Amino acid sequence: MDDLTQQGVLGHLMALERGGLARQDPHQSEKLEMLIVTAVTLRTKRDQLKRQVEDIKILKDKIKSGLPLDDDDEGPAELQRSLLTAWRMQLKDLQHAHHLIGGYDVVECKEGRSVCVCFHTAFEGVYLDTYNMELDMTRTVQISRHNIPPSIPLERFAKQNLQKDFKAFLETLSQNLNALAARKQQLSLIKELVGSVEVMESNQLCNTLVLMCKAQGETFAVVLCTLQYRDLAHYLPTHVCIESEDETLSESEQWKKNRALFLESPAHMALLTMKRMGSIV
Amino acid sequence: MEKKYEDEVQLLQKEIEMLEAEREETLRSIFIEHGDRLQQELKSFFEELEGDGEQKHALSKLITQIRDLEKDLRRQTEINGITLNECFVKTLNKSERRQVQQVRLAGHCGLLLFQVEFAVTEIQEGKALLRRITELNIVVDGAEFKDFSAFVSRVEDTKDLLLFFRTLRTFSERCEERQRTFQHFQSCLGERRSCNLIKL
Repeated sequence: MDDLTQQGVLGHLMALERGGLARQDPHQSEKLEMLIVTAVTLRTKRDQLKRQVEDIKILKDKIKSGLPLDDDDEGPAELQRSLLTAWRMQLKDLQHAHHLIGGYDVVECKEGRSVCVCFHTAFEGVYLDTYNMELDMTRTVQISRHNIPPSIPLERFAKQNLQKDFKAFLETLSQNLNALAARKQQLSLIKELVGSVEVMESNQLCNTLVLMCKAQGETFAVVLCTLQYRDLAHYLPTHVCIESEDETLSESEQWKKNRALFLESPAHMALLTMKRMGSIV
Repeated sequence: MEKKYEDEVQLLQKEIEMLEAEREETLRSIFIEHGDRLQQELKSFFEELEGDGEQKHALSKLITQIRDLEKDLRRQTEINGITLNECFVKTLNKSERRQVQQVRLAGHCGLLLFQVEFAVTEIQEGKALLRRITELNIVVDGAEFKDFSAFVSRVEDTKDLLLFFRTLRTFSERCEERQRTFQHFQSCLGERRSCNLIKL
C-alpha cells in the first residue's frame, strides 16, 4: 500500500475506534451531564448570593446614614428578614462567647423542672475535658445525673453549698475540676516534652507525683522529686520533697532553687527550665 | 470537556464560600455598629406584625428564635456572673477540619470592667474537637486592679482565658465584699459619732 492509502485506512480505523469508545462508555456522558447540571445550579446560587450581598451592603449604608427603615423599595419583608438574621447571628455569637470563656452553658430541660450545666476545663489555653450535670429543681436542688470523676468530693461540695448558694457550688466544682485537668495535663506534658524524666507514681486525683530525674554531672545521680498537691483546688504543689542517693546534692543551692521552681511553676515548665539550666539530663 | 466543567464547579464552590462569608460578616457588622437602634426599631416592628397575618407567618420563626436566644443569654449572664456588652467574632480562615476565629469582647463582672481579645483555633480530629487559644490580650480598668495586673500579665503569657474569668469572678466578689464591709464600718462610725454628740 502507498502512504496515502495507509493514512486513509489508519484514519478510518481511528474513527471507528472513537465511535466504539463513545458507545462503550455511556457512563462518561452521564457524568458529564451531572457536572453540567451541578455547574448550572451553582451558578444560580452564586448569582443569588451576589445580589443578597449587594442588597445587604445597600441596607448597611442606609442604616449608617440614618434613613428610616420602613420606606424601602425592595419590599419590607426581605429587609426585615436580613435585619432579623443579623440580630440572630449577633445573639448566637454572644452565646458562643459565653461558651468560649468557660461559662456553664446552662440549659433548662423538662419544662424548667431540671437544669443542665457544663463544666469546661482548660489549662494554659488548651481546652480539656468537659463534664456535665443535670440538676432537678422541683422542690430542693438535687443532682440527678452527672459524669464528675469519683475522685472529686462532689457529695461534700453539694452538702456545703447546693441549697443555699448555687453559684458558689458551681464555682467550687469548676475550680476543682479545672485544677484536676491542669494537673493531668502537666503530667501529660511531662511525658511528652521531658522524655528524660520518668514518672514513677501518680494517681487518679493527680495529687501525688513522683518523678525520677538524672542530675547532670559525673555520676548522673538519681534524684527523686515528690510533688504533693494538698490543695485540690490548685494546680501547683503545696509540698515538694527532693531525695537523692547523693546526699550533698539534695542540700545544694542548685536543688534548693529547683525545689522553689517546682513550687512556683507548672511541673513541666520547672523540669524544662532545669534541663535548660543544665541541672538535669 | 469534563475537566472544563469540573474546574468551573470547583471555582463556583469557592466563590459561594467567599460570598457566604462576606454576607455573614456584613450582617454581623451591621449589628455590631447599630445593634441598639435596630433592636428598638425591630421591637416596634414585632408589634406591627401581630396585625399582619401573612407576614407574621413568614418571619415568626425567626422572631421566636430571637426571643428564645435573648432569654437564654439572660440566663447565661446571670449564672456566669459575666455581662458581655460587646462581642465581635470574625472567622479568619476555615477549612474542612480547621477553623481560626478572632474574638473581641467587652463587658463587666460586678463593678470590674474588662476588654478581652483572643484568637481560638479549632481542629477536628476524628470525633474529637481540639480547641486552643493562640493569642490573648486583656485590658482591665480601675484602681482595684493594682494587685491584679501581675496576674493579668501571667495569664496573657500562658493564654489561660478560662483562668482569667474564673479569677475575675472571685476577685469581683471580694471587691464587693470589701465595699460592703467598708460601708458597714462607715455607717457604724457615723452612728457612734451622733450618739456621742447627743450624750454631750
